[in-house]
Amino acid sequence: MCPGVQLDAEVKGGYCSDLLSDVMANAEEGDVWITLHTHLNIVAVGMLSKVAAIVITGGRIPEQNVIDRAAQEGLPILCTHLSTFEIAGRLYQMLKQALPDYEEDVPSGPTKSQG
Amino acid sequence: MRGELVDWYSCDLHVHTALSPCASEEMTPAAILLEAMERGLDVIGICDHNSARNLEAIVALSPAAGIKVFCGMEVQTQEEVHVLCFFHTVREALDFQDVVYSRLPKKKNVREYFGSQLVFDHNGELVGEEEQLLLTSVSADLKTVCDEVAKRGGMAIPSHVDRMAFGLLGVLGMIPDGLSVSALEISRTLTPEEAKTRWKDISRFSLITSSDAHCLGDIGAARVQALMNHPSLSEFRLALMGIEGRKVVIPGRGL
Repeated sequence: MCPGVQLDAEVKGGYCSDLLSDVMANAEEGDVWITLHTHLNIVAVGMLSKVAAIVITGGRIPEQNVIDRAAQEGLPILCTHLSTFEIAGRLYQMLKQALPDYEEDVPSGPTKSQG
Repeated sequence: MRGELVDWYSCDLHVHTALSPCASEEMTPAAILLEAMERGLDVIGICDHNSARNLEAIVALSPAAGIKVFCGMEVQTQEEVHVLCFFHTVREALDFQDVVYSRLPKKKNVREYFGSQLVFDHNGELVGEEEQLLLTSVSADLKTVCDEVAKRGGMAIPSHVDRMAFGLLGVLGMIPDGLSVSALEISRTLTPEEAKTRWKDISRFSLITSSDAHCLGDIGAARVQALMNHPSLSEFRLALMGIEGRKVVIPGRGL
């Protein structure tokens, strides 16, 4: 979506969430962030979390001001007609093949929601 | 009434200072107090996002303005619901702030994206910026936050409950059972009658409106009138419960 933005950032993993505060707290540098949000705030949240790219799902397209802001920050925004579940599954498979030492991000056991 | 002295107080319980990154930098403690005086307010609640760091400054300056300050903060729960949390003293609010900060992600604010987080001292002088990222959620759910406030003798009021973003009803769709809150704040764009028509289950709660002011011009733009013996948090809670003639009313539009 963002003209002039290079798509060569190294991708280390992925994170799916539509709760912006959750992304701020838990997305890691180099993640591809998959969301249905198109609001301008996704650029700020993406930059804060240093994600490699934002993938917007379900055929949603952000407004021009969001695209402009992301382009200005050098943050790639990609849009897909696929659902979050589908695109996450496909990217996960690709990532596992591309990165032989990809570490599965599986917590050791159930945790209480309020920590 | 037992012949006690009872008076009406004009209260705007939801005002941000320049510590909130989304608030205007003109929201200094002194400027807020002056504006509150001019708007005829008796009580203001200071509720910055996830922080109480400007309370000491504004409480120190408030006697000169003849304004009573309620010591609050607006906590964002992990469901992204906003809750006004009030305490009797600056000390109690700062103690609660310690808990809140321990539950925030260890990330720094980025001024360019979210705005600056200005901190003032008890003389009202700018002393620096809060580095902790404030515009995010604590890792504690709504019930845990409200219970913790109640346990500490404070007063929890979910803010702008009707709003789709960060409002209790907008985010969760209904009010969970057994929530320890003293009242609900509805947006100033809504009358209590409209709110009760849209959400039947809010009728069992006391309602307040406030300005949620992020700039000086909005202070007092919405408020409640409280009939109580003196302007204190304890009296306000009794007024919300309607104890011994005390009460809290939302003035009609245009007031």
